[in-house]
Amino acid sequence: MTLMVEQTRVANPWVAQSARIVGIRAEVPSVATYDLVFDDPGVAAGYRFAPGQFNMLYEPGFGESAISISSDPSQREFLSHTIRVAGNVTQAIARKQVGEQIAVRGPFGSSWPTDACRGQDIVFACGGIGLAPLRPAIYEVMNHRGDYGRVILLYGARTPSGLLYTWEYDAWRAKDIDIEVTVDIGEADWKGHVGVVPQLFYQHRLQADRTTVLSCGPEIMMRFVAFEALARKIRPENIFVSMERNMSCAMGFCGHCQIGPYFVCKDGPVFDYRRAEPFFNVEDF
Amino acid sequence: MSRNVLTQTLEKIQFLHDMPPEYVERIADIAHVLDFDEYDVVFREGAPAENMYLILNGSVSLEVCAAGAGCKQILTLGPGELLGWSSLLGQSRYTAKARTPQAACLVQINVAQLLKLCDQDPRFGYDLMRRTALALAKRLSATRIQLVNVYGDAMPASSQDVEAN
Amino acid sequence: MAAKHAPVGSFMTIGTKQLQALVNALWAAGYRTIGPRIMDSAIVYGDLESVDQLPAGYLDRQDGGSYRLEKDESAGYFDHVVGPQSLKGFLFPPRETLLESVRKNGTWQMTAPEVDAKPLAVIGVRSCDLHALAIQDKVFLGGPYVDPGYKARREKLFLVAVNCRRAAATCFCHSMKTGPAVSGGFDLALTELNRHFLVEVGSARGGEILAEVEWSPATSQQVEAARVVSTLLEAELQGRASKVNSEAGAPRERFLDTTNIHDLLLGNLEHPRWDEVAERCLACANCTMVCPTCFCASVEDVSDLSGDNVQRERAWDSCFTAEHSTMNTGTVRKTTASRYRQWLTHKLATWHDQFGTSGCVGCGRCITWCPVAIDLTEEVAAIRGAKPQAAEVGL
Repeated sequence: MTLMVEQTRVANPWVAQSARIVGIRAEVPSVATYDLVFDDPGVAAGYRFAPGQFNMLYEPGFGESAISISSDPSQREFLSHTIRVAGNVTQAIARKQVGEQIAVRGPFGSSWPTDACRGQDIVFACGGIGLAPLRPAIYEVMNHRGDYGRVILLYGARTPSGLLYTWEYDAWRAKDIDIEVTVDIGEADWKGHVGVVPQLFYQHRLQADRTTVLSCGPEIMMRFVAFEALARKIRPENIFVSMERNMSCAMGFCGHCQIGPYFVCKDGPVFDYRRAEPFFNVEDF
Repeated sequence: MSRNVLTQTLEKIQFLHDMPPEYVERIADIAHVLDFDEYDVVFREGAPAENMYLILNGSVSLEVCAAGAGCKQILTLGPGELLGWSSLLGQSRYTAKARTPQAACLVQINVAQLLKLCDQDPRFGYDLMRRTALALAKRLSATRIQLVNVYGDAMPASSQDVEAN
Repeated sequence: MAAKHAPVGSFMTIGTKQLQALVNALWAAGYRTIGPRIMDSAIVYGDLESVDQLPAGYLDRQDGGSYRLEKDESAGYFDHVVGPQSLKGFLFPPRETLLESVRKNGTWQMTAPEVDAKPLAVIGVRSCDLHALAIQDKVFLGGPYVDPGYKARREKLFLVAVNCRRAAATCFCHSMKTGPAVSGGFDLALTELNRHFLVEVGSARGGEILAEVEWSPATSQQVEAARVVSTLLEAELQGRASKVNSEAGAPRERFLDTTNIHDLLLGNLEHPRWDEVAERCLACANCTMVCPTCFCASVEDVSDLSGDNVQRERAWDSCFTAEHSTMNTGTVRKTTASRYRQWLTHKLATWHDQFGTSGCVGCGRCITWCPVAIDLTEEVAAIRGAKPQAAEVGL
């Protein structure tokens, strides 16, 4: 029987848009940030993203990779993607120079609840490359600093040379963001904290009824961050994590990114812990 | 196992070494002996922490699991050791997964009952907690050494130790 | 012959000659017309030009891991039930090019290829498959993104459904409330009554095509006779749950207790049964291929030798493969047990959370086409702790 379907906003969601690399910044070993601009000014003008969302970056012949957008959503000149080289696609991107083309589909996914948690104290708790998907939320909070209470960034990497965006911390501190950094192993000149991110919670007295925790990083780290938050009586619906699964379509069609009932690509990647917890800690699920 | 035999068995467990016999009897009253087969799971990470265990024989491996990476063994506990301290220290869920790599025999003790005994007799409670603190302190030291071993060469010396040359 | 208007909701009767006329009318209207044909010892969809190509006089005997065709003089045109194919492959093809990229002067031009969507008429669709179609509509059309290929092909699909007169031992549509009677979503629906057919008009398009055929209005007795076919079959299916002894040597007649099935499965993620079924399961992915609702796919680039022409292709995939769920750290579901658990908990439990219905339509294909006869009705019953039926269970 014939079935007529309403047109969607995007004519064909499988088609990637052409973009150019306008800047590359080496961050830490194996990690670089690529600033992209769409070739078509119409596409560039119409593109909006919310903090936590990701694009599928496409290199024909290699495939697509889901990369979180790491720039300020209110900055409309270019889109930043902080990429760690991990597989064929990211290796192909890492070989590119400024001026080269890259294809983009997006934005996809759920976002950090920066709107909903106005009025709250915010704790950003992240590890390694996990600071990249949170950075747009940090920018958004800074752009509306008066709308939030205390803002604390707890961030850790394996080693001091793995700490991302260190060049920005002073600017963030100037906006009244409390930054605590830790590493798993210290280096020669490291005078900072050595230990894991969840331990950084011990330094702060948090008011459970007015604190939201946004966490992104290795799964085990997020699990223990949630544990510390829950132990301080922060409600699970006020704890947010960003889950990761390799994606093929980013639209809920291919089924690859499912965790229990959720498609990480469209129900996530940002999830509140009350929804996440029953499924995310089941082994091999 | 009869209560007398259980009491005698418990007295021999390293964790309870030199515990006053009447305290051991109180534990025997609320303890059960359980047999585990090869690759049995004693408890999973995140499960409600209702029981603590003392290992009679065999061993228990502690694992931390993450999607994609699978489960990684981080520690093995042997006969005489305490397993499941999370429950005793008031944490509602186990913080690691415990499995028996070979057949093992464990004494299971319900923690709610044990804590009640501690409340009823604070001296008993003090004795138990002191043992627990000691067991965990040893484990912490061991973990530190393990950390140094694991990161080993990747760990540069601190600046004060660098010899001038 | 003057065209006779056939309004939606009306019932008429046609004979075999008019069934042929219906087939001709569909071809004449531009539809590639397919129907059940016997090929390679199974009943699958093939081009249908003559009603003589229909498998009249054949029945299918299905059981766990077993499918056999038998000649039976009493069998009508549609007394067989579902074979390994469903409508899935016609709307969501096993392989499809989504994007074509051509590199000229160092720059890639990326365009979507023209969608391959031709009018298709399918004769012989059963109620379970109509429900499966509605389920796939939700996946590909009902979410925040619409798949353009599926949409284009769906709009050109003409469905001539058939009310089953008989069920295979592996059928359990009654348990899933997806049959046996067809209940909507068709253009025309046929019920076979002694070599003539009752036709129900389900859509304006169906009425238009039927107008090209010399039909007779159905009498109320004929309409009733057709209804009784479905009612009797349903009663027979419903009786399975309480059947104490099946005939010696006859296959066990399946049903599925769906009471609280969502919470039952999700509350038993560590049940020992998952490891037990994993000892039998080959992770061959047959079940996911024959399942009419499974939609998992993989997307890959295929390049020519120059490297300047790349096709981005989507192909059917299965949650039973290691590559299905991965992270940078590796495969998530490393064991067959975890994959079988994923398939079953998705199909019967989390599908409800995602799409508002069960993912299973009770067609029984996964049971028939599993090489080791794993039967999901049995697996669920084991997790529920129910006693197996009187007849022998498993291989």
